Amino acid sequence: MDTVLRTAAVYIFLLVIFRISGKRSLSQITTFDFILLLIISEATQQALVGNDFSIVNTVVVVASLVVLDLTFSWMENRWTTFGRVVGSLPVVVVEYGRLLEDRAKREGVTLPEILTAGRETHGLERLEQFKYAILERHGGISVVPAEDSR
Amino acid sequence: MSNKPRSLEIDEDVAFQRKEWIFQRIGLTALFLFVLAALLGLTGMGGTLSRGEAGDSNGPLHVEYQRFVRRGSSSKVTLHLRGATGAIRFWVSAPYLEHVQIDSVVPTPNLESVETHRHIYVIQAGSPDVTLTLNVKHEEMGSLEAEVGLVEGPSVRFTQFSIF
Repeated sequence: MDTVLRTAAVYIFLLVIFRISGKRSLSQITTFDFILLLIISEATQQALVGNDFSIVNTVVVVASLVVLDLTFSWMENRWTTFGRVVGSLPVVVVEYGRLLEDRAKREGVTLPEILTAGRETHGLERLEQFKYAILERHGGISVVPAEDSR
Repeated sequence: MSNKPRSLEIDEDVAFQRKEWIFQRIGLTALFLFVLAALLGLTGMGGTLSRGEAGDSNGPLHVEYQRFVRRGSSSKVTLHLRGATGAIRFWVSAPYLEHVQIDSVVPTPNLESVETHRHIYVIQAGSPDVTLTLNVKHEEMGSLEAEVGLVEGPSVRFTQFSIF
């Protein structure tokens, strides 16, 4: 029982932490972010298994994590508001070639990042060539080019 | 925002998004405060607010301990015994020992007797200033009342808060 409760506590804690840190926190992983992710996983591993390194304990931890994740996914699909609370919503950050500065600032998205997304996905050269840029739930930026830019 | 009609089919909700930004701001503030509290020692193990002392620092019994400890972790309780040489008999309250596990005592004393309310230990002191360190593992959560004393001498009480 203790292991399941520990796992649930760690799962919810990580969920809250990454919701607080925003959509962009780990969307573009630099080398340092990758190392940070490894350290976080190592630190949480200690809390998950405690001093019990038995195979049964590991199985309980993994099974609990999968069940929790499936339950949360089901709840997100079942209740829209819950899905929004847990998974956030997409945000339009560029509209008809104009950067929506307040939104971009609050979400921690910079103009160079948006331009990079435009270049990478559609070969766009300038902001005027954007119809929309959307910060998606997963933290990535998707770009819809303006009709005359194609 | 532009006045042109938006052709984008997207699940966007500005009012909800504003609430999310407020939540993130509050959450980040709480996170900073939590780290600050951890630095000060409120989450256990070290830090200015966690360091506790009981008894007169120049008296025959002075105890240093951690106010905030964590369940499943160990902390040190240091006893400073002053003014006596030869066999020093001291005791630790039994209710405290029911909630903790003493991993080791350095230097190791001998357990002289177990009474209903206390365990009495004896150590041979070669000098009038002896320091003993109890490595204590906290096995339960909540407030842990402890009492340590010298047989036929003063005793001190202290409280530790064991958190999850």
